[in-house]
Amino acid sequence: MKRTAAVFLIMFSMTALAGEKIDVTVKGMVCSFCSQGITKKFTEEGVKNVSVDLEKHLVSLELKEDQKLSSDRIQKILKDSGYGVEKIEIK
Amino acid sequence: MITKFFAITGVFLSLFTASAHAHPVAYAGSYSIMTWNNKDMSDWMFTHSFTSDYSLTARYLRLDTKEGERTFYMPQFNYLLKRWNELDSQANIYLSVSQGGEKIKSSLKNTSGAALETDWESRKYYVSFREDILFDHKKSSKNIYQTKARAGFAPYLAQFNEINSWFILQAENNNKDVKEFKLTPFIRLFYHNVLTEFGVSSKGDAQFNFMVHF
Repeated sequence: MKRTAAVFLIMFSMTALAGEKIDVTVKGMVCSFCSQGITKKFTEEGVKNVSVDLEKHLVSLELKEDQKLSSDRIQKILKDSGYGVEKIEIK
Repeated sequence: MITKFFAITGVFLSLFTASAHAHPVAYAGSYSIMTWNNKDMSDWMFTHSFTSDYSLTARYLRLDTKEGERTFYMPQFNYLLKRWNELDSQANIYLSVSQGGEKIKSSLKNTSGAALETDWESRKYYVSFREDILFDHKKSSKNIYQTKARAGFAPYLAQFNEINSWFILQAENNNKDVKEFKLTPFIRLFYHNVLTEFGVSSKGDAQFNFMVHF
């Protein structure tokens, strides 16, 4: 599992993502009170829409048309929010 | 590792009588107001988390002790020693140190504090343990040792935008409290960034806790 996550992260670590929908599988996200920082941080980053699914451990991001967000930046925001990243997928 | 951690926490819970606070460090750049109140105690904390690893707190604590009312003003540094982020759970160990004063008449007497807190939670279950010590620099017999442990469960799994409910049992021991040992069942409700808890202790005292992050 860790190898799969690492492959995903390496694949996208140099990729700038624009106008995309991105699903991030997040580790440690078990409490909605504690994970409020996730929506706040991504909103501050200018992400058009942020939704959290605790059941699926998923943070779904919808970027603005001309917005770019690297996977490194996504990981940094989630680390600042107190969480780890399992997988990043562009939809 | 998580299994081992959970086992250790379980041992703590069975050995000690204690309660837990909310996380002393929240997300980077956030502010928190936390307050715990009952007839014998009022504890207020205003916290700024600089990163998700450390925060600074301004703390006001009033306790009705066997020796009378004692009031503390304590700037406090909180540090996340270790976090385990798993898909279905999170566990943490925090260390807090403080250096402030106890109000004696019109002056402040030098006081130091330290606390160790650990917790484990999933979407369904939650356990935590916290040991707080306030050192009196002149008389060790006036030191305050407060131990808290909690265990709780969620009766249903709420989604991110729903009201979350928890049933929590808190055991607390304070060597200076008039009522040294207390068991308090709580109902915890939270929605978005606001959390409240209501409980009535085994001694019949009501308790109200409130937390907000912004």
